[in-house]
Amino acid sequence: MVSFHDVTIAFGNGVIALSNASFEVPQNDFVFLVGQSGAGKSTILNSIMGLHRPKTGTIEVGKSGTKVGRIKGKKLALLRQDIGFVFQDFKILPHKNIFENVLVALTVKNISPNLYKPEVMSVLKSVGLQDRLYEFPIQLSAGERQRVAIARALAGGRQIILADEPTGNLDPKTTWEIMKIFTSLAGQRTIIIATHNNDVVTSLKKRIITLEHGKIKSDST
Amino acid sequence: MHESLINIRRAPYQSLSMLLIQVFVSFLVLAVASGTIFILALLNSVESEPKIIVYFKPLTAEATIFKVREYLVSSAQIADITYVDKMAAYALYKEQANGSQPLIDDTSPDIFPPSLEIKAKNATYLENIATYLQKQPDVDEVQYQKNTVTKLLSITNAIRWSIIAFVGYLALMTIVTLTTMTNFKIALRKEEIEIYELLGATSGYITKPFYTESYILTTVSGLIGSGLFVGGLFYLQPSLTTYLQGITKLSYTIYGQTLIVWPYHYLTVGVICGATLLLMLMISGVSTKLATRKYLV
Repeated sequence: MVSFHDVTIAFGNGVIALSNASFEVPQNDFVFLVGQSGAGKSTILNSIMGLHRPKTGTIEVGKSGTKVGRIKGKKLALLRQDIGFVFQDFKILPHKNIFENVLVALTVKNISPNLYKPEVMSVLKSVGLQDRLYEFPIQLSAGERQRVAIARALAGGRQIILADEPTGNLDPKTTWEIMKIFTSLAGQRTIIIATHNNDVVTSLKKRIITLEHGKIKSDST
Repeated sequence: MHESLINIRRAPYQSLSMLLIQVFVSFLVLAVASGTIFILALLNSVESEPKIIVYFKPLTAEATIFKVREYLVSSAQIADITYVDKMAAYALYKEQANGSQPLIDDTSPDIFPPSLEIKAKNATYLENIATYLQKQPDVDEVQYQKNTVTKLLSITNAIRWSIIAFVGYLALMTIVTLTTMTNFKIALRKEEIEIYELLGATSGYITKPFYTESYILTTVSGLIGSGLFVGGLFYLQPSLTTYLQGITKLSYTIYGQTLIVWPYHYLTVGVICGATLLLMLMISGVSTKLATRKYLV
């Protein structure tokens, strides 16, 4: 569960990135955040991760309703261990192979090493990369790199998946392949995707939160 | 460990710089530390040479003198104490009179005062011993070279403080250099660290590889530095043996443990190398903590 109560986020230079935003995303819901560049989509995702602190209002994340704006250090790390993220630029480690890239998501959680291989294999199978464990990111296409990022976001039973323009660098065919993976997870994890891609948003018929100049313009299913 | 070795290979020039600096500093600290201990041992040996001679009144009973001697021995400050009675003093006088019969005829053992010749374990004890003796009613005169002792103590202290200041400067220089190098490494892995943070890595998880890398490099550097030092000692041994032929044995007591400084003893060399490695590991830990403090929440 993710909930925003009257949240305003301002940057150091005085720019209001998000203004009095309130919404709730129940557990295992699938939500699109749409809007122009600078509308506040990434700010919402980043503030769920604890990268921005609200100036006013509260952000609650997870089953226990952890107030993100008030935690730091180990508590923030523990919260992030339950969140998987997928970015437009993939953010995968170039010097590690596919297996190791996904493994990182498990080692930070102190999961028993006995579970490493089955868990990594399971999430890589869900994105169709189970046969390419020891290839390095440089050997993969953009779509395949994004699949590695999705596998890493799923590893270790992370319940909330945040994706910031996950198809922004991909061609239409690959975009649909990636979206197919996300839709296959619907109902199993809480998924929030920020995107510009209207075709994807209108075709998938999921809940849409529209943002404009840092304010929520509409929230519809 | 495996991850740290990979990270060392990923930044070879920074790692090599850290290694070379630490080898140089380890070697320098070892050379300075061993040189200092040698000088201090030499001074200690010279310091213990000055002695107190206490003359008792001629009619003092031997039992009284022995009581004073027993008290001094029980104080654990005495390296050596010799009783010179009237007869021994007279014999010494006759020897120094060089056979001059009139001088010998005019004297008798009764006029010579009995005395104690005292060597202290450490020159700093001499003043206390002298003060105690001066307070004894049967003591006629207490002789000791106060100025010489004071001068030796002041030289020893000056050497100790100079070396502490020098090693302190070296430590500070090394901390600053290693911190800068580690900061370079962190800058190279900035994106990787950001990814770890987003995945929920704790500060300990993020900083652990940097500590492991530092300790690996420091241990290797310390071992190389120690190897060079021990090799240098073996190489110089024939020349030093010739140069120091008058000195049969030197030792230095530190925290109640006596180290044999000359001729070389494997235990002393081991202690110096071990202490230097420990110092270098502490320096390495401090610099890594300074460089990674951003992640130490």
